[in-house]
Amino acid sequence: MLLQRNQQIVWRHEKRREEQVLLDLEAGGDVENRGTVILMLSGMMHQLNLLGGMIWSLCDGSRTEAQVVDVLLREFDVEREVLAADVAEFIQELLQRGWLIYV
Amino acid sequence: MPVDLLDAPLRISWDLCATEKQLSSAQLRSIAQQLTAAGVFYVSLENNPLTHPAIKPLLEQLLSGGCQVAIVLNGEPAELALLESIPRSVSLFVDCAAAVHAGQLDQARLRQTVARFRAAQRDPALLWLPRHGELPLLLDLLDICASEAVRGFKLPNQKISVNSEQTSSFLLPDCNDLEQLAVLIESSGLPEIPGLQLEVHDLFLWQLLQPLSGGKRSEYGGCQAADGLGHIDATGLLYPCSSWPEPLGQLLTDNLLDLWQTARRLEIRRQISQVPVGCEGCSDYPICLGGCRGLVKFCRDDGLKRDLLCSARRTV
Repeated sequence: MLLQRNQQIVWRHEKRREEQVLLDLEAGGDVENRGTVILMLSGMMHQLNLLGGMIWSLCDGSRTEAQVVDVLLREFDVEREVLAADVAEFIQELLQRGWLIYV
Repeated sequence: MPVDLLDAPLRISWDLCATEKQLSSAQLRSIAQQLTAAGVFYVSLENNPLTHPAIKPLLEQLLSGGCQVAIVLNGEPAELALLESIPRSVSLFVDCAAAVHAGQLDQARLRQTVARFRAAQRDPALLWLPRHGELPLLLDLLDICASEAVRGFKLPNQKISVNSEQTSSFLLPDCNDLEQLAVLIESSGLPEIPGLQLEVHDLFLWQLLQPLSGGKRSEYGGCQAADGLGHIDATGLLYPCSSWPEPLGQLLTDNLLDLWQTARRLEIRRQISQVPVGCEGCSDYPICLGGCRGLVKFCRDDGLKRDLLCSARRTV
């Protein structure tokens, strides 16, 4: 099943922020809670961190969960099983919130 | 953890017309292009926006660029004819100021305004910027929201600008106004208004009204000037927000994304990150984070820098 972002959610990729986060990551910093994608739902702002933002960006209705993992594996030096577990957990949470849907 | 600032504002208020000056169609296009390219989510067009000859193409450009657009109207009958060409996806707000004179609310006038818009198949929300001494009228306005089933009521931040002759510090509500309203609410209570979308910019005012919004408030991380908020005046000057007295630059000559990375903008955010004079040790500071910094910069002359609606440092 293909993953699709909820079309009611407006969002923005914070490119300059992400550049800084990537620099800090390279320097060994903790970037777990640093937002690189901004979402607005019912007037409330939410932020997704680097991995969450990349997953969100990839869920454009053209990829399955496994294909999202495939793309991310090119970006992160990590075992597939570890990454797949993180991606699955994140996607499950967003599906429960209604931010992502299967199409 | 470092504080990450936004690449561009999320919300922009834009005064389209002024008494003497207004931008050309090409200049509007240029600014609108910057807003859409930067990914600004919400644009509120204010100061008689319907009277600008390029309003229709501007709206089309903003909407097609992904912005959610609202326009603020004064509720005059003449606006209804102009509304015909306005896309229905544009949110409408009627400014209640035209129904307030000498501290009195002309309820009949405001009800008629809402009825006129509805007869034209438009369902406006209300918007109000109370002045000093007017806050008790808020309860009357809420009664109108209840009886007329108004869908939304917005109390935005107080608008000022460098050249403003309309706004002076003595016109702005202060902590005594807020205390007066608190006493009234305590004695008479708030009306029940199911379904009302209440948007209150000021944290202290919101605290009084929060039962109406079910205790829910949009994200609050303190003053959002020069981060989530921005304001454009009728000449194209970009401000940190509509309550901040100093511009960041001119959008006709500089790009929004570049202005949002200047030392001036970063210095404003640095100032906002500091605990204001008069707030040190306050037990409520983690909640309010100093409130509105722009209005304080504009008009507070007692050496303190705490929010105008805050009466004193609190202790647990």
